[in-house]
This record gives sequence, C-alpha cells and structure tokens, in this order.
Amino acid sequence: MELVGSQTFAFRASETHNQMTDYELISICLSGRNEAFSGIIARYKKLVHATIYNLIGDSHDINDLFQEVFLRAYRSLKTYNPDYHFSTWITKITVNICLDRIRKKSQEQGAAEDIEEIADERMNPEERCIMEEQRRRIRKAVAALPEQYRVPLVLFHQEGFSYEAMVDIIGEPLSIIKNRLYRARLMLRSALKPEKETIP
Amino acid sequence: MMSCEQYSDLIMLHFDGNISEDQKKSMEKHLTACQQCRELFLQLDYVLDELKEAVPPEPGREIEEMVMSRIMSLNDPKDNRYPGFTSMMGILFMAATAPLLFLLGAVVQGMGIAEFTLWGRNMAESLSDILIDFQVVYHILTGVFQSELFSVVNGLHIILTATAFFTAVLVLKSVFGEKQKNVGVS
Repeated sequence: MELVGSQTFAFRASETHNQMTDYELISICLSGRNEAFSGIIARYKKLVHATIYNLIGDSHDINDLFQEVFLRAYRSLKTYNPDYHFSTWITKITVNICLDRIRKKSQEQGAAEDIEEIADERMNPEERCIMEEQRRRIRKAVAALPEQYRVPLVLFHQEGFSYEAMVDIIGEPLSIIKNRLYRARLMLRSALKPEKETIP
Repeated sequence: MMSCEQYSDLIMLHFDGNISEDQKKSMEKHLTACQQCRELFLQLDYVLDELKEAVPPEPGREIEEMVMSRIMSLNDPKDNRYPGFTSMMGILFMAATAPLLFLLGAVVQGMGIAEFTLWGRNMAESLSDILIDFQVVYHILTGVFQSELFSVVNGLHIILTATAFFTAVLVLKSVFGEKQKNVGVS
C-alpha cells in the first residue's frame, strides 16, 4: 500500500503520518519521500516556534528562522541519532540558529522592543495593561541576558527541558549548565528588582 | 546552622523541582524568619512563573507550507539515502570500476611474480628508450622492479580484490537497498 500518495501533496500532515513514530517518518523521508516531513513539522512546529520566540523575541525574524530550522533539520536528517529524543535534536538546531542570528544582530542593534504579549481576557483594561507591562519588562530583561545565561533559562523555564536534555542541546557539562541557570535567575531578578521597587 | 547563601542554594533546588521534603521544610522555616531570603524567593517565584505562563504566538499555517514547498523543491533524496556516495555518478563509477579492478587483480595473479617483474622491467626499459636522456629514471624503475617484489605484488592483489568486493557490495546495496528500506516502514 502506498502510504504517501500524490493527494497528500498539500503539505498537510496526513492521519497516517500522525500515527507514525518520529523514526518512521524520518525513515520515509530518507527513502526519498520528502512529503513525510510535513508530519515532523506538524509535530514540532510549536516547540520550534516558541523556542525561537523566547530566545529572539523579534517577530520580524521568527518566520525566517522557523524555515531555516526545519530546512537544516531536513538536510541533516541522516545525522539524527534515534537514541535521543527528536525534540532535543531539533531544539539544538533551533538554539544554534538563534544564537547565530543573535550574534549577527547584536552588532547591529540592541534587544528587540516590539514584543506583543497575550494578556488574560478576564482582566479589566487597567490590570491587563499592568500585566502586559510587567511581562514586557521580564522579556526585555531575559533578552538582555548574555546568551550563555539566556539559553538555559529559556530551555528550562519556558520550554520545560530537563537538565539532561539541556546537556545534549547546549553541549556543556551538567555542572556548568546548573551554574549558568543559577546565575541567570539571580541576574534576572537583579535586572527587574530596581524598577519593581519604584512601582507604588 | 545554615547561612543565607546555603538557603539560596535550596531556593534554587526548589525552582529546579529537585528539592527533598526535608530541605523544603528547612527552607520554608528559614523564609518565615529571613526577609532577605523571602524576597529572593518571592521575586524569583513571580518572575519564573511569569516566564512559564507567557504564551508565545502560534506559528501560522502559511509558514508551515512555505517550509514544505522549499523542501519539496530540494533535489535531494539520493543525497540522503547514500551518505558518503552522494550521487548517481558515484554509483555508476563504482559499477564501472568494479569489473576492471577484478580483472586487474586476476591479471596480476595470473602473470605470476616473475612475469610481473619481467613486465615491469620491460616497461621500465621502454620508458627509458623514450626518455633516453633520463638515465636516472631508468635506474630507479629497473631497480624497483628487480627488487624483492613478492610482498608488494601480493599486497597489491589483496587490496585490489578487497576494493572490488566492497565496491560490488555497495553497488548491490544501491540496487536492492531501497526496496528493503521501504518494506520496513510501509
């Protein structure tokens, strides 16, 4: 039976793709039927998009980076080691691409400021405004952290990766990652503390 | 008695989600008594909770389709299937050279060491006739082929045969490998 026919050419992950494991989808891609990669994208698009958003915070670059991540993942599929979670592997690619972009952009401009926050709709306009302002400040503070502190902070507290997964993604020993996360929290707190105290 | 710095470590363990019950009780007790550590805890709790709760925007459908359009336009399947031998030209080259290598190995073996040595010497003499002014070349070449060549000829034959064998295996794999792979995932 032909699983991936021409009718699935609309790049939507088919029902069959949804039932397959990552490894099965990758095997199909490696056999030359690259339309199966839509199943991989459907499965990991939120993770990749959120990681880019949390690391870069610049909406103008997100779409470019999103495409770059999946294209690089596709081109590197043969190097994927199924002993690791695919989420770890693709997040490693995402982090590397984002860091490259951050380094390039850091020479051109400072931290991005045009970040839209999603506020709780149950709040009244004043509460929403305050919360949006607080979140904007937090995101600015995160964006201002040096990358070696920002990456573990985002991966652990926003993407929910374990220390073991971060070792694979960042490629540093556990002790260094723990130390960086420890310092990142304190740096974030220090960055927010003075402004917070001025709020009556 | 633990210091505030040590309690700071416990606070970090708490946010790691890796604090024991005893450590948690000890930390909570200290937080009720120490304003500085309590502030640290509450501020971190607030900030990290906000980070966790912040909902990033969802990727649009169009960007997903843009990625797939670019992927479908890539002319790559062969590249991914045969890492190390990335083109059809490479496979054709291997297919063409395999029998030649077999033949060469057989010729070397069939000629025997003495004949091969003689052939080498004749070739060297011919070369020296052509390059009559290059007496050094003549001496070097005849010297090589008159020397102890037993191990060299045997080694050459083994290398040629092994290369031909592995080339043949790769060619067969390239012909039949894809069908076997597809069976596994269909």
